[in-house]
This record gives sequence, C-alpha cells and structure tokens, in this order.
Amino acid sequence: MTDMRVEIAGVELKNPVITASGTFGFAEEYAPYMELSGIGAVGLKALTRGERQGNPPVRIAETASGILNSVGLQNPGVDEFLRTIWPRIRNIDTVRIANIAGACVEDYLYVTERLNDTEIELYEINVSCPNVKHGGVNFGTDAKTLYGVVSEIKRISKKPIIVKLTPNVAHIAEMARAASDGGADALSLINTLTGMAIDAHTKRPVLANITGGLSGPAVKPVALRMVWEVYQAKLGLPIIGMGGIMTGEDAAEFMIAGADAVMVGTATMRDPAAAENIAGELERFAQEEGLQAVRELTGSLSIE
Amino acid sequence: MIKKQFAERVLENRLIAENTYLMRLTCAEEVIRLFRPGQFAHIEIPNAGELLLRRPISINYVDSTKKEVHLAYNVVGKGTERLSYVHPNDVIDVLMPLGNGFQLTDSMKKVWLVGGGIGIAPLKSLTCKYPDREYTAFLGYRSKSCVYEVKDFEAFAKTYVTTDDGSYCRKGFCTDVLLEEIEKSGAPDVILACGPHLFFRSLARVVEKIGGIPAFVSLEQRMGCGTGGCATCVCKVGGKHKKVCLQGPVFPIREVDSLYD
Repeated sequence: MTDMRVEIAGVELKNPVITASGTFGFAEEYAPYMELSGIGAVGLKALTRGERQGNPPVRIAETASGILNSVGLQNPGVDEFLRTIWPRIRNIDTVRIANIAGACVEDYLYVTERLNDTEIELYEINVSCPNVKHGGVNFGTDAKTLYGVVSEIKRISKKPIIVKLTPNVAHIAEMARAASDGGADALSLINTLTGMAIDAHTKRPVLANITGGLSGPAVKPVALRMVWEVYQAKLGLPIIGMGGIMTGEDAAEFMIAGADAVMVGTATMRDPAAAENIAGELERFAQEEGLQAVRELTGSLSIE
Repeated sequence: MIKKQFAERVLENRLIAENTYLMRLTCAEEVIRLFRPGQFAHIEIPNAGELLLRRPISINYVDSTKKEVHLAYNVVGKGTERLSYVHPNDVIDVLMPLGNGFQLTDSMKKVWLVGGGIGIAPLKSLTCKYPDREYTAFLGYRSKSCVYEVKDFEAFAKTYVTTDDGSYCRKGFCTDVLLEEIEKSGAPDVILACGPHLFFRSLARVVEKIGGIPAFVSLEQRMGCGTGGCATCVCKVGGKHKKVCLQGPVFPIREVDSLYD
C-alpha cells in the first residue's frame, strides 16, 4: 500500500487530487456522480464580494484537445454563499478550498474576512482570471502588484493561502517568487491560457467575450514546463500543478515535474467522476512503481 | 445517492430524415423512474480523439416496457457527425436524465406542443409521463426531407404540420397555425415548446397576443459539463444568468430575456 497522503501548507490531504476551481461548482453538484471523500480536496467556485452575473453567452468553445471558456466569475457573492451554500457543504468529508477573486484589494480582503470564521481549510487567491477586465489577471501579471495583493491578504487571513498563477506572463518563476515574498503558503498553476476561437463561415468569434481561457490536454506541455520552472526556483513552497490532467499518469507527470498535489478541471467536464478516477489511477501507478509514499514522486524528474 | 452516469448499449442508430438520426439505447430502471419529459442525455462521443466535450441530446422517448431510451439528433458538427457513426452494440457513456424538464399540473388538461426542427423530438416524450392529456401538436420542419415522427404525434395528438418551403403539408411557420387554432377551438391550458431561437421569438409574440396562457420553452446553449459545475451553458432568464443544464433547459417563456429585447 502506497501512502497517498500529501501536505499542503500544513493541511493534510488524503491524496494529491483536488478539483480545480470553476469546474466543480460548489462540490454538492457532484454528489450524484462520485464519492467526494475519495479526493484530496475540493476547489470551490471563485467567490467575489458581491454577486456577479459573469459574461454573456456563448461562454464555451471546443478546440483541438482543449476548451475555451469565458464564464467571467459568475457567482452568488460571498455573503449569499455563506447564507445558503456553505451550510449544505460544510460537512463534506474532504478538505475545502475557497477561491477568492476581486477587482481591487479591498474586494479580496472583504471575501477573506467573511470566510475567516468558517471551517474552510485553505484559500486559493485568484489573481489570474483572464475573463474579467479586473478579474485579478492584472494582479497576476505584474510582480510588484502581485506581491502587494498577496501580502495584504496574508496580513488578515486566518487560513493558509495558495496563490494561483497565470501562465500569461513572460517569466512564471518571477511571479512565483513575488507571491512567495508576499507571504504565499503555496502556489497553484497554471490558470488558463488566453486564447480565441473564430467561426470562419460567419467571421465571428465563437465566444461572446471574444477571448477566453484555454484549458485541457492542449495546454499540458506548457503547464508541465511552468511547474518545472517554479520547482527549480526552490522557493520552498508546495506546488499544486494543473493543466490538462486527464489520467493518473498525467497527474504523476506533474508531480515528477515538482508538484506536491494536482488539480483536475477540464477532465471533470468530460466525466463528472474524473477526479475520483484519477486519484485511483494515480494510486495504482504509485503501487506499480513500488513507491512507499506518493510524495516520493515530487520533483523526481531524472535529467541525465 | 441518485446515480446518473451509465454505460449503455446502442440498439440502433439510424437516419430518420435529412441529417437527422434516431439512437435507441438500453436504459436503467432508475432512468425510467426519474425521467421527466424535456430532460436530456449528455453523451460522451466514442473515439472522439481531440473532442473533449459531451453532447447534450434531448430525450425523445422512454420505453418503460422495453427499457429503452430514444434520442433524436441533427448532425451539426464534428461531434454529432462522429455520434452518427456509432454502431449497434457499441457501449456509450451517458449522463441522464439531466435538467428540469416540462412539468404539468393536474389542471393542465389541454396541452399544446409546439416544436421546430430537431426541437420537435423532446415533445414526443410528454406522453411517456402524462398519457391522459388532450394534446395538440404544431410541428414545423424546414422541408419535406426533414420531416420525422409525424405519425407518432398523430397517434396521441391532433397534429398540424408546416414546412418552411411548403414541400410537405402547409407552407409557413407552425406558429402561424396557433392563432387560427385558438379562434377555432379556444386557448389551451399550457403551451410547451422547443425549437430554434427565432421560432421562440415568434412564439413569444403569439403568446403575448393571446395573453394569460402559461408557456414554457426548452432552451439550447453551448454546454460544458452538463452537471452544473462549470457555469458555461447560461441563458439570461429573469435578468440573471441561469444554467441551462441544471436550472433549465425549460423556462417560462416570459422570463427569457433574449426573446423580448
């Protein structure tokens, strides 16, 4: 038996597989399809200060081995979440990660403060949503701004914070370092790559928002490279890797590149039970490899 | 736990009209028990290669004796094209039944079904759940080659058929016939509709004109997960972005903002 437990910023996960924010609703939607207790943690949909309707439809386009989305942080707002949704999911038997988004520092602080007295174990700071003009991507693409917002949140946060990095930057390791300097307890990467899809017949963009975020196997090589770069920067922070993970072997590759845990997003859109299945596949992979503990995979990339 | 993901065997997948296929699948007891007309199946395309997303297909009929579910679909892109290649005995992964579906109260005796094109398919399933209502069907097809299942409707409903080009039955839109029928035999207790957006707009005008009749439409949107998790398949309903997969696909016509702007 391989020990599948991993630790992220002092929080123990029963296995390294987490659902990626924005692809798993508020977790309760998935109870008909899987055992929520079978995965390491659930990443909840991004929460903002007030309710957000998000972008107009069409919000999704299928591309070769990928998906473009332009949801735009639709959510009921943190207060409504706490009033109606949180009571329904507070007893689910796995670690809960709230995703915090905002248009300005005060918004992030408001959401953080409101969640501080819940039993939510971890926060993921969304400084990288590409689909909202002020959806945080501005915070995530400039090292100084990123440092600023992370340190402000860290100052008031009662939970460890994971900073979610955007791949839409020249040097991901530089951003990782800024987040680390600002007080991040862990890093997650990558958010989606900005892209677009065009209908040649109508000469119109497929998405009403024109551009969207690309995810799925199409981005996996980019994501692996970025996880490896951040791992090599030796910041001493746990890394949660994601980008096109569809199988247990994909998850293993991210861990080999340097990730301590992984997030599964697009795969859930194909198969609602994907995260649980991937956790099972990763466990079988680790057993076949004869590992005592799955965490032995982290950073095990062999370079001759 | 209510199970909604199944591996089902294809019994038949055949062309029933131009670009229109009927797929018959085995189906679990749970699906028969849970099914409401207007719900859909979210199908994983076998051997889909680079196509990651499932395809939402409305449920055309549920045969509780044979334990079969029927789906009718148009080939509109690469995914549905590959679906049309599926053979009998292939096993496909299906999420079903999804969505809210049409719901009739006991007082809704006189029911009008108004369908356009592939939107006609889900309306047939009303008889599976509510066999004892007084149905009238208004079916609009593009042209004669696209006509399917008219006989099935005639078996349980007074049926009017129109084609856009007049190549079969009456020329025009089926919404034109609605007003005439109201004059002839009075208004129904409820109108249930499925079809393209422009069709809904003309239906909305008719409903406004006659006033006071509850009318429900089944909306279509580009969809991701189908399970409420990704929030991509929204439509603006009552001023808010509602998830078609979970809060829909059926909404009261008067609340669908895009039909009145």
